[in-house]
Amino acid sequence: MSMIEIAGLNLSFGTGAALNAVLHDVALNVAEGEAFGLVGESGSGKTTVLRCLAGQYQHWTGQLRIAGQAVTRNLPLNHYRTVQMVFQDPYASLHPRYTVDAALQEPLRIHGIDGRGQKVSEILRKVGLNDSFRFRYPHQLSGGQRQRVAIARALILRPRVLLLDEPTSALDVSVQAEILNLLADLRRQEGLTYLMVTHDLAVVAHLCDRLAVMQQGRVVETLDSALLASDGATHAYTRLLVQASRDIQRVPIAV
Amino acid sequence: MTEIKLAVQDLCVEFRNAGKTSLAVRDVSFTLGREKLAIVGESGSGKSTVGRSLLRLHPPTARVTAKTLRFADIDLLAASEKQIQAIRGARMSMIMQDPKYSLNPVVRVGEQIAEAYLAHHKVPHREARERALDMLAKVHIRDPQRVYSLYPHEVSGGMGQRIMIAMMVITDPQVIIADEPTSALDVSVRRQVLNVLEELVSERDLGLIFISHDLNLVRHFCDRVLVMYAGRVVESIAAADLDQASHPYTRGLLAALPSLDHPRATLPVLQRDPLWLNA
Repeated sequence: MSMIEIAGLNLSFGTGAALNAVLHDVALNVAEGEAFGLVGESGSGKTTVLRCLAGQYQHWTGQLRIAGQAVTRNLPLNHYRTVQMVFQDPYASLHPRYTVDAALQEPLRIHGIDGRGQKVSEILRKVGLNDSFRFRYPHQLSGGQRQRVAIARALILRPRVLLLDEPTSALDVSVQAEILNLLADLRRQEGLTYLMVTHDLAVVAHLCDRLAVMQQGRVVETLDSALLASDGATHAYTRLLVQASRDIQRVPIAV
Repeated sequence: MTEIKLAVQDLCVEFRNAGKTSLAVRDVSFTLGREKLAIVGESGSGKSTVGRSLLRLHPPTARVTAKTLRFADIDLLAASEKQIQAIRGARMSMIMQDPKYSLNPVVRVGEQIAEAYLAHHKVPHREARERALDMLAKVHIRDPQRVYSLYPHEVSGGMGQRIMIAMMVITDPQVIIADEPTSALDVSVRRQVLNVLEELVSERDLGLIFISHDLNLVRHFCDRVLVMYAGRVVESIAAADLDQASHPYTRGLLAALPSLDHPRATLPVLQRDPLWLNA
């Protein structure tokens, strides 16, 4: 079953002469339990697709369905119990004056869920933190710990789909490895579906089963990520991306 | 390697904050000739702090000490503010990470490049403009006349970074410090910017310090790599020999990178050894 179905998605900003179309007939299907990568250069519209799914833009046209439910203009509260988003920069996405505990309880409170204290400790353990982090403020955490908290906040409502917007690009390589491992483990344990935006093909090859390549608001190619390494990409732009990430990497060494 | 442009021995940088002192850089030593030297490490390892102390860009609360801190024949520690001003931007310059934040948003980009030239040369404005246009062409901007009169918000990230490079190179410096010049850019645009830097280094008598956290990038782009951890240089190695890196931290960083061609189920996570702090 398709978890995320996108068909004929169009979006534009401005009107008249200043009309700027940013998405052109985007179509994607992501199966349940699949990790799907969305790559492309900045400005190609990949984050915009996520934002449409998350309900941050409302004036798009086309069909969006998540877990069989049509995404409508005015999203019901329970939409957010199916879909949650993790943002790029953990330094900007956590409220600086909320403790970890307050940040994690907020979604539970909004949805009227009881047993909040218990749920907060559980989710912290799940993302590799513990209760000692509960009453800290974001400035008392490292970048990797912050991103763990952001992931915990997205997971606390037990969603089925995670929208990941460059979850590791603001982090160091050593921390990036930790977060990628965490995301891979969580997907296996919870049976989550990921839609991940990134510009790093190596990250896609590591975490995702399939990917779509976007350029100027269009999906130019959809392929299995296993094909990337064997030069299976056909579109010129995809090949350019593969070339660019191969230029700057060689065989990893064993430790 | 030709003559030594920059000699640093036992550089320490200390910040004092609310009665506490923290040592950000500890006993860093290196020399720079006509080459591309990379400084890599995680955030907070002190790599930018090293770059900034060379140009005396630290606030007065920072205490910079060293056995030697020499640029050409000038002792950078003893130099007066006036001497430093004559060096900064003219003979040694710095390219910052993000053109969005480093360009003046209300001045046309060409004017900003010309201004960099005028700050160090007594020439008519017309000549500075001409030089700025030449420089724009040199960093492969297709239509210098048009780009000259654009504002920073009208140029793309890659173009903005090339404009920053033009601004830093127009005074014909001997040393350029590039602080993560491509981190804010796309993979496809990154290539262009690196090519421009590469060309400048090979054409001119230039030493480049390339500060980055991207090991894969520097091993192809640079000649020599200094790996920093917690304010110290833990390893200094030729870029081509990175595969044979001996320090566990360097090896850990390399292994933690996901790879397109060699997928692994889990990435090895860097285990930090407290002994590295004193090694």
